[in-house]
Amino acid sequence: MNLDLYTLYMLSMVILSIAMVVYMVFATLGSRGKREPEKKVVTVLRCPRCGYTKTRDFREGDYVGKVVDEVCPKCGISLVVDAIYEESITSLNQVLRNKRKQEGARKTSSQLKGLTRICCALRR
Amino acid sequence: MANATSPWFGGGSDLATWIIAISILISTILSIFAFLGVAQGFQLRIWKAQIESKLRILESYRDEVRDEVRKRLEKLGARNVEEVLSTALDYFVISPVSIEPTDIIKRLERVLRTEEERLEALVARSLGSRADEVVIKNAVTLLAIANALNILYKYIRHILLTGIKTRNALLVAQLWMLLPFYMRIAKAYYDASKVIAKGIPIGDAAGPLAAYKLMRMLPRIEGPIEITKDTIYSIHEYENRRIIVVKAKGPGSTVGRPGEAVEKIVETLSPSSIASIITIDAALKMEGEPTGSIAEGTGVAMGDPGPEKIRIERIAVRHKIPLYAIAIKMGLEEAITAIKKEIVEGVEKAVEHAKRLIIEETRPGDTIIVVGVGNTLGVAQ
Repeated sequence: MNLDLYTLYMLSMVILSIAMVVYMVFATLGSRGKREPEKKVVTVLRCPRCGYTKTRDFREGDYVGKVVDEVCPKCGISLVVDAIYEESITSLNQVLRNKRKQEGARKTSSQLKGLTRICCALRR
Repeated sequence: MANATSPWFGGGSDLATWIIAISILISTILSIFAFLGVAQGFQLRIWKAQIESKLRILESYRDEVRDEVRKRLEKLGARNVEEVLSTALDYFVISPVSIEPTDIIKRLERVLRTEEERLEALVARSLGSRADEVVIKNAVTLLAIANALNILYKYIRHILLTGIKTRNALLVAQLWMLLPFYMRIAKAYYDASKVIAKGIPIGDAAGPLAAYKLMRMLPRIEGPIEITKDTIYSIHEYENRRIIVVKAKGPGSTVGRPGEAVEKIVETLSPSSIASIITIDAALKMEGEPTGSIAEGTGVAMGDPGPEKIRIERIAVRHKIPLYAIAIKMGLEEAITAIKKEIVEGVEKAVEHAKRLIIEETRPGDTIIVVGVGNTLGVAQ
């Protein structure tokens, strides 16, 4: 096959265009498939006397200020719904990933600190 | 000749000639299409197809919310459910004449109250004597959501069909560009319907939740007393000051009538003893602002169309009462869907801020009115 410089240039433009189209298609499909984090609604129960709190899943019929059947393990009086809110469910994988990230950041910062110390010593 | 028929195996320049020739041919065809309006026609078809797919989603939102209300009402033993649904879904409100502004607020208030009373009566009549106040309020709010989704669906369909009928590409293009915004609102309403059906507090409940926290935190002298329809107040003591806390009557879905309540309280008490009126409400955050952050300002923090807010402003002006506002920031979707942990934390901060404001701006012996503005769904007193 005998290809000159101009043909090579034209071919590279065609390949580049195809690559761009493929990238755009994948980028669009990727953003479509992005899932929202799972969420759940929880109810926070509080003892009006000692301030003991307990969090459980929301049950239909709960409202802030409602006196529920559950009792405080310390005082023995009925607990009151103190708050209801929605929170994201963090999966175990996510927790581990975050932990690894934090550890990595800590390692990097300690390495940086070591390097700074060496630099300072060298300067002295 | 051989080079011209099989450019891949011939000279490199022949392949380049082929590519250039095809490019020129394509651009010429496209230019002719553009002049003839064919390209615009193609574009119009693409926009139409995309709008129609979104319309189908919108229709499913509306139908699901309508079915949810139907199921709830039938479960409660309601009669003539179809009649209630058809009336509520197409219910409309005509805004008062605005070219003659005299009494426009009173006229608007009458129109809005009539709407509220009519829908509540419709549900109450359907449920009969079994009607529980909280159930009626929540059902009315669900009907209002179904109504909003129905109107949005009909409006988008109307613009699309008008654009196609008149071959107005710009009209369809405008609708296509605004569609993500409309869909965002529709999705928020759809999510809100699930939350409201279960009685979960929404982000807009931040104000009433702050009022509830104050009521529980401060020693109570009197109350809670229902001063006007769906609105209660209670009197508390804090640092030798009298705090009157006002909120909508929960835990049903209602915003109450905070303006009328404040007006009545000020008129009943000696107005000179009232040192300030503090309103706490959910406010729309700007993109980039954190959810649940709070801000202090002046005026009446209230997102109503006007009648309630103006009552507080007028009474404050008449008796020279300073107006303070505390806003709890959140997004549009967050305001009408299940309350988030960040907002609940924001409520705690707002309560502390209100207490600090009371200490800083008033003296012992003063009376302060604190109003928790918003929908009190899932928040009692």
